[in-house]
Amino acid sequence: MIREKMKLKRKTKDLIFICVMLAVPVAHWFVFWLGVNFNSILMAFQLPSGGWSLLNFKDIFAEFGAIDSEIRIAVKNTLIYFTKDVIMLPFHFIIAYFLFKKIRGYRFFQIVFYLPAIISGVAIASMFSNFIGASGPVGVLLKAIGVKEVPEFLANSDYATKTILFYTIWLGWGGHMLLFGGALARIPADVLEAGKLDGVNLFQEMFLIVLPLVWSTMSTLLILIMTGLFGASGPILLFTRGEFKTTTISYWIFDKVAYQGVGAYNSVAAFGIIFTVVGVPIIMFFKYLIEKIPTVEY
Amino acid sequence: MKTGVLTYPKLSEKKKKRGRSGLERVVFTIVFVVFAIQSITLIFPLLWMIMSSFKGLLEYSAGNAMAFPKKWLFGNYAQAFTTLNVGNTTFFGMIFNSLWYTGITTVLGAFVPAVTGYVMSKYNFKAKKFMFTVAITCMTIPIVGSTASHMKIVSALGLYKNPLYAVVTSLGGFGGNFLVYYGFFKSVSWAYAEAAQIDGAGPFTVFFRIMLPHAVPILTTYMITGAIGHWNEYQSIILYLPNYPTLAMGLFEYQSNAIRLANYPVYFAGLIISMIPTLLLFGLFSNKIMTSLSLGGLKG
Repeated sequence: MIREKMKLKRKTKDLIFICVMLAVPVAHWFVFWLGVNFNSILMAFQLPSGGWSLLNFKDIFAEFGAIDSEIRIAVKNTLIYFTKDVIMLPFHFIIAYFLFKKIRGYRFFQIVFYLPAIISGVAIASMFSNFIGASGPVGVLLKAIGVKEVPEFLANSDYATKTILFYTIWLGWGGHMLLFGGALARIPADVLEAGKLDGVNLFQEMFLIVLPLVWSTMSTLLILIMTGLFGASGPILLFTRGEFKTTTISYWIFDKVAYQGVGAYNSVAAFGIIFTVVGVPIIMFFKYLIEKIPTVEY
Repeated sequence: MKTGVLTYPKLSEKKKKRGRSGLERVVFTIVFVVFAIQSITLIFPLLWMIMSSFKGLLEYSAGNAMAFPKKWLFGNYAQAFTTLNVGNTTFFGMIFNSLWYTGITTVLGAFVPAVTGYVMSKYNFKAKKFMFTVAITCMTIPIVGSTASHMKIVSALGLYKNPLYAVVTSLGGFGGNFLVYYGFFKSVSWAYAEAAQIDGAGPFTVFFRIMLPHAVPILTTYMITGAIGHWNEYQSIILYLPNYPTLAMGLFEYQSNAIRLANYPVYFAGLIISMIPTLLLFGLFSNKIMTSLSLGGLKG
């Protein structure tokens, strides 16, 4: 009887603990995930002045079909950045692998590659745009090798997106380095030593032993990149504010909300709904495919 | 019949390096050269910016970009504090805004997911499976364009241009960090808690005194990486707290507003000052940051 009473008391205490600890995060989820997204759906079907309408969708599709449509540029650029993110993932794995293998100077490289994640994006973008400017070191170098008119790389539609893309690749060498580093560090040393004694070469070790062992990390990152399909972008705000055909979906949304005010909110919501509806089946299909590949437990 | 586990002799570090074949040595050399070139391209522009921050305005805009300053103007750094103002906010004001914003968002952002990760991994309750599935599903749904709705709700709650925005929006416990804490607490033995319970400890004591200290390494890592990220944040400040410019947001606004008139050497000095806290944090904790994170699979 006493034991049962104590058990009940403990259960009650546990229940209070669970409720107290989860109340705030759950409320936060209800407001800032469920509430925000539900409200977004409602806003997509409403006009800024009130009243229900499909006009927001109509306007988006009309804009999409227009010549030199900003939305079309945004979609094209977003897909370019997304492709870059996917291609860079195996590259990040290879970089992390060589650092894990303690290549000469690996500690120095680790720190230097991770620096862009430490330094303020505002500072590094400002440094970059001045560095490649006509009177910066790149401009001086180009003039020295005979280029008469040094192009304004970030103020020219032919170069601007390519320049920002280059910037993201150049700075992105340390991407996912911590997560890959953590996964690689957990690989039992015996496994690699056994492979070595069995005569596996570097590439066999990298792709046939190590890659399957860190696949759970790789697949999770791949799913997260897929989830960010329409959010892929470079630091457009810092360089061009969307001018020179550099806008992306996420920048387009930011620009509307930050600089165009309440009147643009409903079209942003409709825009979001369209891309969410397109994105969900694609992401779910890729997630399904990725999860088909078995992960190794160790 | 005797069964046994095949064991291999351990190789020493030196033997491992010596054990590299000819082809492997070539590959490692090529990779080393590529890494070294990439490192130089990353470091050189930074050094150039530091050097330029000591030049005079005229020397910077009309002189040789690659030349050292004729006279090293250390006063540019003092000038940054007096001239880099945004609206009514001084440079010191921006530092203060960066400090409180970073402090609040970092502490809450690291702590709240630890709470949810712990409760979801160590307690069984009716809604647990459902909540876990919802949390994972939400992470993988590619929602686009909810910023407008988010802004509307933030405004409706009175959080727009209100420092409480930093507190309230940092109380989410089901993001990516939640999974890491969940995995971690799952691996911590419940025997510690049972021992404490025998001594009369309740669930709060068990969490704060026994279990949370186990998670200090992860908590510290999230605090450091979170602090670095929040210190450098500018987009959410532009959107939700435009009247509280932090250093990152303020310096961006300063450059945008004064694009042709900006005194770039002084501006660079301001940027370098803004980098010091994050570089210091990284310098002090780089080993910790580099070694303590891992991510498992996402199974919904």
